[in-house]
Amino acid sequence: MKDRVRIFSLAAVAGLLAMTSLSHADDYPQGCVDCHTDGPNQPDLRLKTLLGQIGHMSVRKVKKVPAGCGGCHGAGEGEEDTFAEMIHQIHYAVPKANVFITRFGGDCLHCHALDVESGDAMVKSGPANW
Amino acid sequence: MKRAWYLVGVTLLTLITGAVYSGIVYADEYPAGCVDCHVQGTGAQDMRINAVLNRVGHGKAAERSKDIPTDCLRCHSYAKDAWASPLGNLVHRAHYKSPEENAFTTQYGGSCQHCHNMEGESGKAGLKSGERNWTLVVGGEPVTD
Repeated sequence: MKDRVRIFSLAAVAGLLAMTSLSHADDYPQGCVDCHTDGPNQPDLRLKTLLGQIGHMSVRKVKKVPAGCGGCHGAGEGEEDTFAEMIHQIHYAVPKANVFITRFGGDCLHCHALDVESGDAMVKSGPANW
Repeated sequence: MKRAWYLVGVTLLTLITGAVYSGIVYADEYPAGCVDCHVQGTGAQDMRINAVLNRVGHGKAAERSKDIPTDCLRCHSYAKDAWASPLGNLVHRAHYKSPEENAFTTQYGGSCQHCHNMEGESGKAGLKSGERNWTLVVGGEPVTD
């Protein structure tokens, strides 16, 4: 009986800790490049590869992602909004089949950061991983 | 042998709990935003926006606002000559500062989508809004419209 209680208590504590960490840990502090990666047991999900597959022009010279994308995707009036809306569409359209939602929880804070002192919301950015 | 079955049971229970918890991500329990979460409830304190703002000494404009938080933007806009601080910054601070103690992050998961909506087809992000959940009283008389 004691064993049963011990096992159950351990499982409950572990479960609660896991749930709490989901709310606070930032697994993607640099946004895009922390999630869009290449690795031994996964397809190459780096943005350079994905964009190459859909015929996007070379992004070889982009140094920071997505800040560097603004060189083209933020040049005209309203372009910045259009770029943001395109990224939102890619990550939130067809939610039942969208990997960002089904596997990554659809959390805005994977890509956006919040300065809790000022209350400013922003887009995370990091060096290109190619 | 019995212990093995207990372990199987506990594992199943953990998986079910995880599945239920992850469901929170998809269900929108707060389609009208602020007023769906800030309710009178049965707790020790009335958490409706008018009550919360009264406790911190906010003026009567909050009580009189009809669509929450859309009407708050009359004063709390992002314009340089706005009467009060930008609403987004105020609300972000209120909900995310000191995350270990903040009820929004500890009890409600800190999801942006409790307050913001996202139209997946257009990619447009917006701010949820809903009608105030208190009765406006002017000159001692309830105002209904």
